[in-house]
Amino acid sequence: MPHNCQHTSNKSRWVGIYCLILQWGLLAFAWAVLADSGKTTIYFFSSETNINNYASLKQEFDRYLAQQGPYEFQPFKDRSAFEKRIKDAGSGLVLLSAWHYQEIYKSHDIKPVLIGTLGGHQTQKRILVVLNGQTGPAKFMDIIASAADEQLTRLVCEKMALSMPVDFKQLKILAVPKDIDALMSVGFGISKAALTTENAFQRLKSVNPALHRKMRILALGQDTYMPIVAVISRENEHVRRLLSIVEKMPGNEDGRSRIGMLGLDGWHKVEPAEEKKLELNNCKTAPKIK
Amino acid sequence: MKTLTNIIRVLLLLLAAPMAVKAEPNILVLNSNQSVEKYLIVQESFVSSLAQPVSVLDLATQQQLIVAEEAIGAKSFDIIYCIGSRAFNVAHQKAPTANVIFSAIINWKRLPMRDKTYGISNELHPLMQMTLFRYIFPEIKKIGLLYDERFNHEWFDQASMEAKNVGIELMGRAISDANQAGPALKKLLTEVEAYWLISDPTIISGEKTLLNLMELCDGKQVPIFSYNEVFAKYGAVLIVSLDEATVGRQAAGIAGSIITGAAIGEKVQLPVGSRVVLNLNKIRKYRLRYSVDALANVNRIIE
Repeated sequence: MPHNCQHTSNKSRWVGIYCLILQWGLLAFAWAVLADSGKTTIYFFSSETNINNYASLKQEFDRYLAQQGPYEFQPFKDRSAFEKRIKDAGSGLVLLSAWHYQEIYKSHDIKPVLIGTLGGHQTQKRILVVLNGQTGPAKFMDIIASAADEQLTRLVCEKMALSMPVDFKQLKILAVPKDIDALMSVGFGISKAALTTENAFQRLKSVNPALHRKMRILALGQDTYMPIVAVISRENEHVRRLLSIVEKMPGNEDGRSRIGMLGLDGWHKVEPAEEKKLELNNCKTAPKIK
Repeated sequence: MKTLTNIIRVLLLLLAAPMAVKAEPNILVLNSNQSVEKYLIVQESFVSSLAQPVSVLDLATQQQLIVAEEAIGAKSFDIIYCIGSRAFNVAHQKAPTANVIFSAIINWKRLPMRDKTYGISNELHPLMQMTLFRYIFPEIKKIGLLYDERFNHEWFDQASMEAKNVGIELMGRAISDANQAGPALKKLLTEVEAYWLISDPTIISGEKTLLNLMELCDGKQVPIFSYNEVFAKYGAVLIVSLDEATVGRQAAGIAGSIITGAAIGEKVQLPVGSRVVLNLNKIRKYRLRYSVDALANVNRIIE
């Protein structure tokens, strides 16, 4: 019996050890599953366009990213919700305008890694466009059409008009979805001026040369960077992999069409010296009034 | 319950004015039917674009209509923004001295207009649509369309003229009966690179005609461009329609000018915000070349 008892006791001990190993194994498995089920996310908000294409952006980017691993794209319509989310997220990537980056980089611990490019250019210039007959700023101060959000529109206009005797806070802004809408609204006489980009105005020349000929650039803004990709503070392996996927997007047709939806066709890696410029969102050129 | 809610709303509307310390303009939105999503988008955009308080009444049911008519009769509104024909008819009849702004009304030119009637038309200018056609498909230059002269003779003449400004040759075939649509399109499809389905009652009123046209285009792999998202399900490749939120903002701009006494240029404005839907499946099927950087201007991609 004692022998049997000892045998039983040894057996119980081994069962206990097995159970403990099993428990730890299950815990480790559960931890791994939970860790992997949380997708690494690209958070997106655009202050440069009013176009409501969030559903398509999410659908198209998610479809692309899902082929590469547990990644997702999360566009935001509301700026404050976006800022809160990236503050709470802890890790992931952020895609936002350079102007917006400059506004929040201190409070949100984000580090720029890629600058969007279009036609090989990392920067764009905002311009104020009017019909040829319009000669002075004081005469058109009723409605400015803009595809950028209102705060950005007023800021850019104020910077453009440092020497103009105009209270830009009193401007009426008509928010339109796209740059082409802003330009057309001037053509139709609904707005007296359009705040747009040089790229969009150049594009108008090829699609509607007659309207382009009727318009002129009244004021030029500063060169500003295209939208940027930034890493949220805690960089990990998942984030590094996601960043590498994003970086390679211009190299394949599917990826190119996705970043085309953001008005971009490539990326430029942020050099350490460029970080400071991004913090100022200033690419040197001073505003100029024509 | 809905009636009671409306009565309470009207009472609050009537009480609000005398209590106000500062004379705010009395602004009312009359919505023909709030459950129609596009009407609701316009309404929300209008309300959020104005700094002044705005009252809203829904006219979806007969009871709500009666309540609204009573409210308008009992209180003097400075500005009434009417979304849809039903709303416009109420405001025009019951508030002859108010500033009335309308939108979401097909063919506004048939409306009775007063000096203080303003609006946003419900149709994008053909030039705006063609500019976006060129933007997305820069290589497509010959576009065909069918139209009934009784409804669209003038529209076609204007569009043909404007088309030259964007480097498009518009090739139209006039028909007077839906039965002529199929044979006319067959001939047209041999000459054009895209077919533009326009808002013409002879062509779009019957589903059978519509399906036949879509099949003919699909058979020849000629893309269909159109003006309403409803045609996406029939296989339209590119749809350029108006952006409702911008319409609400334009109406709020007119209301703002009325309040401040600023000059209002056009009494009825063209809508200047566009919404673009692109069917990438069809683009691949037809092997069409499109401008990838124009994708940033597309609201919805069908894939």
